[in-house]
Amino acid sequence: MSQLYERYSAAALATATRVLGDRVEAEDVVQEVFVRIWERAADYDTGRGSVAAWVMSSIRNASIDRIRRRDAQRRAVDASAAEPRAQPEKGEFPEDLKRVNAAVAQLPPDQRQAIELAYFEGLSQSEIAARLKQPLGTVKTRVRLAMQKLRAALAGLAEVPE
Amino acid sequence: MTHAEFQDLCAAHALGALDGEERGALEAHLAECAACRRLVAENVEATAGLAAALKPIEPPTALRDRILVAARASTPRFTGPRAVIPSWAVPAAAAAALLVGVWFGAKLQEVSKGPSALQAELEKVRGDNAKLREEIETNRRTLAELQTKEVKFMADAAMGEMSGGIGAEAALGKVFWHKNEVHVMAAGLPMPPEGKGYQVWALVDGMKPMPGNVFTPNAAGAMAGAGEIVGIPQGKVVKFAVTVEPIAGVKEPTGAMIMTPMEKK
Repeated sequence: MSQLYERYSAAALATATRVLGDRVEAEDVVQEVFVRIWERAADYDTGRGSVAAWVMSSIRNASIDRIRRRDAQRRAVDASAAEPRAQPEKGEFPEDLKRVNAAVAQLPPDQRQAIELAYFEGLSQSEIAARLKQPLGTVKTRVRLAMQKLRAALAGLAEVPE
Repeated sequence: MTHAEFQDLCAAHALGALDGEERGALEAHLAECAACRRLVAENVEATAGLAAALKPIEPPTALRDRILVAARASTPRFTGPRAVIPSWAVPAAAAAALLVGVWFGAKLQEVSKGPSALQAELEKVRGDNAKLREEIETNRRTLAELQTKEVKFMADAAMGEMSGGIGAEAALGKVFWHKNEVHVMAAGLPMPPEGKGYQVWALVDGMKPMPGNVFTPNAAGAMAGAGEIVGIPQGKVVKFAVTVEPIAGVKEPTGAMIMTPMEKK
C-alpha cells in the first residue's frame, strides 16, 4: 500500500485534479481510493490487468462518480482550477504504460480529444459528438482508432494500420 | 450484432463512453464472450496511459498521513465471488489478508522513523511486496478452485438434517453428500470430553453404520468439515448421525449419539 502510494499518488492526484478541476476534492478522491485499495488488497486479481491500470481506473471512476454527483454550478465555478500544476517528475509507471504515454502524445489531436473527453469528463460518444458538433460515426471512429493505437503501444507494436 | 461489431464497441466501453443501448448489448455479450472481455481489459489497461500522460502532482505530506490514519482505522476484507465458501477455504483468504496486514503494519511503524531508516526498509519492503503478492495470488487461485469444486458438489449433493441428542438438545446439523463425499455443518454443540470428538456416521437400513471423519466444534459450538464415507450405496435412503468417539475415530459407533437423524414432519 505504501509502495503503491509512493508510486502512483502523484499520477493519481493529477488524474483526479484533471477530472474534478478541484484540488481539494481530488485529494479526497485519492484518499478514498487508496483506503479502498488497502481494504480490498486481497481481492486484487493480477489476471485482470496491471496494478497501474487498477489504481488509475479506480481513481478515474471515483472522480467521474463524484463529478456526476456534485452540483453542476460548482463545477463551472471551479473550472478555472482544472489545469494541473506542473511538478517535478514523481511516480514511476511501468515501462509498458510509459509507451502508452508516448503514444498518447503522438495521437492526432482530434482522436486524443475524443478519448480525453470520455476518460476525463465522463462523456459518452453521443455527448462527445454533440460537444464537438461532429457526426456520431466520426466520434466512434476516432475513439476506436485512438484506443487501437494505445493498445498497440501497450503491446509493444510499432504501429497499427488505420 | 456480430462478434466483430461487439469488438468495435470494446474500446469505447473501456472509456465508459458507450451510450445506454450499446452498453447494455455489449455487457450482455461480455457475459458470454471471453475474447471480448480480454479486449475490454486490454483497453482499460491502455486508458491508464492517459493518466500517465498527465504531469504528476506531488501530493502534500498531510494527504499521505490522512490515508495512513484512515487505513489504520479500516479493516482489510476479502470479497471474493458470491459463491458458497467452504469453511476450509477461509484460512487461505485469511492468510492472504494477514500477509498484507503484517506488511502494512510494518509500514505504519515506519512513519515514526527517520528518512534513512525509511529508505533502507523501503527497499526491503519492495522485495517483500512481490513475494506477498505471489502468495496472495496463490491463495486466491486456491480459493477459486475450492469454490468451483464446492459449487459443483453442491449442485449434485443431497441433504440430510440432524437434530441434537441427549446433552445437546439445542444442536442442529446438516449433511450434504454426493457419492462418497460428505460435508457436515452443525451448531449448538457442547465441547466433547477430553480426548474425544464427534464422529459422523452414514446410516442405511439393513447395513452397519458407515464411519466418517471425527470433528471438534469451535468455542462457539459450531463445526464444519468434509470427508469421505466409503460404501454409501446409491439409490438408498441415507441418514446421518454423530456420536462421541475417540479423536482417532472408530469403525463402529461406541459412544453416545450427540446428533440423530431428523425425522421428516
